[in-house]
Amino acid sequence: MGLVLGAVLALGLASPSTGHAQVDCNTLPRTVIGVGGSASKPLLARLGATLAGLPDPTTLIYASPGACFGITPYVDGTPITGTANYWLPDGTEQTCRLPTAGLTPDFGMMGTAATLCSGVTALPAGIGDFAGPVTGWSVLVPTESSQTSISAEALYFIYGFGPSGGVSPWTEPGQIFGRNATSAALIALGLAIGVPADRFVCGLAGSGQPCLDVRSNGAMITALDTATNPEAAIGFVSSEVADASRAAVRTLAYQHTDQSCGYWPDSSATTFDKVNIRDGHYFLWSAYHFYVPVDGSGAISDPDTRRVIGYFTGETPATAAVPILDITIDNGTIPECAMQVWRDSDLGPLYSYAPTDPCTCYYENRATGSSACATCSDTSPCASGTCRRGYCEAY
Amino acid sequence: MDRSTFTRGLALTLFLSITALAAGCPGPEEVPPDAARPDRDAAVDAAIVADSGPGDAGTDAFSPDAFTFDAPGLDAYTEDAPSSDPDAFVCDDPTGCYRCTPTTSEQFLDRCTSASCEPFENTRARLPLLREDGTLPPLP
Repeated sequence: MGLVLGAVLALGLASPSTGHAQVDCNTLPRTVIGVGGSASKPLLARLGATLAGLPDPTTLIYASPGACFGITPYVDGTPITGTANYWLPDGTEQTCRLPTAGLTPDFGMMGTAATLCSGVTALPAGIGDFAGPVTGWSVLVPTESSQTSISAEALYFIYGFGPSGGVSPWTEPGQIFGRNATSAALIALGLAIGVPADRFVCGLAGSGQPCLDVRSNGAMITALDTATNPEAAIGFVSSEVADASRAAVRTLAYQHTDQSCGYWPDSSATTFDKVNIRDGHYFLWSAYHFYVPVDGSGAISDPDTRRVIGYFTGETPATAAVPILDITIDNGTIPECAMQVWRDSDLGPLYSYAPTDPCTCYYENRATGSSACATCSDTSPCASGTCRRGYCEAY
Repeated sequence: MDRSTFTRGLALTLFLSITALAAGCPGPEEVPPDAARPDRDAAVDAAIVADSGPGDAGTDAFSPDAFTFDAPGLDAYTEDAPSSDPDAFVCDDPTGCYRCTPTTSEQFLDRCTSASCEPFENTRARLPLLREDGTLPPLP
């Protein structure tokens, strides 16, 4: 599939134009150019706007044709071309033109591992894999739907069989929405429910497939919001995208295989605490991967790219001007320091996790507006635990 | 069953009943009094696992090991357990949740929690293509 992806990129289909006057991407100041999935685009938009507002601005540019495109340029050498997005300091999204001859991106970003993409058996030499924050994957219905939960087994039938799977009310052709095998959301969901990415019954309009490939996280929200039969409609996106669209879509509680009850990513359908991802009750999550050219020591080669990716890996310290923890939390993405479980492979086994610099209390206050943790300061130490970021964390 | 074993079994039953009440493990859709503090378990757990270092499950007050070795009068308990797995007997709450320190994915997923949940019935009424034994058929 790598060659096919490369051909699509070379054809300039990397990202649709939003209709703004377009500039050449390479005329923008101090660019860092990425490519990958649409799940991570809101997070990069927040960071991009912040970096654009610095006294010495960096322009974060991102094309989001699909997660697996985040590794393809490094696998087969196909340059990316077409259009991409960047953000003004106020968050306004802009579109720029990539060079006609194409370019090799500074980084790729995916919600799942590159080796889960078809045709990618190993990382190319000289490409590093850097772990980012955690995203959840949400199974969605329109807000008009009466459905509230779903199981791995039900999803197996819905996306492995289509309407003929007989899982009421998701039995109407044209109301089951999905993605293609380049999507991290689809790959992650497929790992969880036991449907290989290339076995989803999804295709583009006119393909005859009973599940419609909507091609991006944002388009999934639109498809569900405008579904002709909301009760029969179902889809999936990253939890960040779902959170930003709760007026249009509702996340179903997900019950994994052998689980006795279905859980939301959050402690309830209406909260934003992501507690069930953080403590292991919600199975559908993975850490973002950054794929970046590295030098012989494994360090990111390009200084600006190293600085930008370093915000997510912790190598670049957060500052008041670039509060990466707040940026991450505000986006609905979960920093590693707020996790109490971890896994070593996408959708793999869970184990207890103790981050070296925990931020559970800070996370919960930032995400929900309150925390049960005691506050602390230099003059008001914790009665127990350790004072971190103004809260008494457990250690 | 001799009297001594019966007495130990009764003591175990009472101990477990008290322990279960103390654990307060909620049912699938119950909201316990501390529902407004969803961070509590996480913070406590973080402290627990910190003692064992990253990647370790650690132990807590409901550890099967602690129960087995610390509870008085239970050292000889074996044959009356309703399950061959003493950990399951101690840790599996009657409501279906897992109340000990989890170490497997299944235990994390079913751990007792104050979070809301909504079950999905994996029955043939809801999933008509399920096999009679409840397993999934191969993909078409």
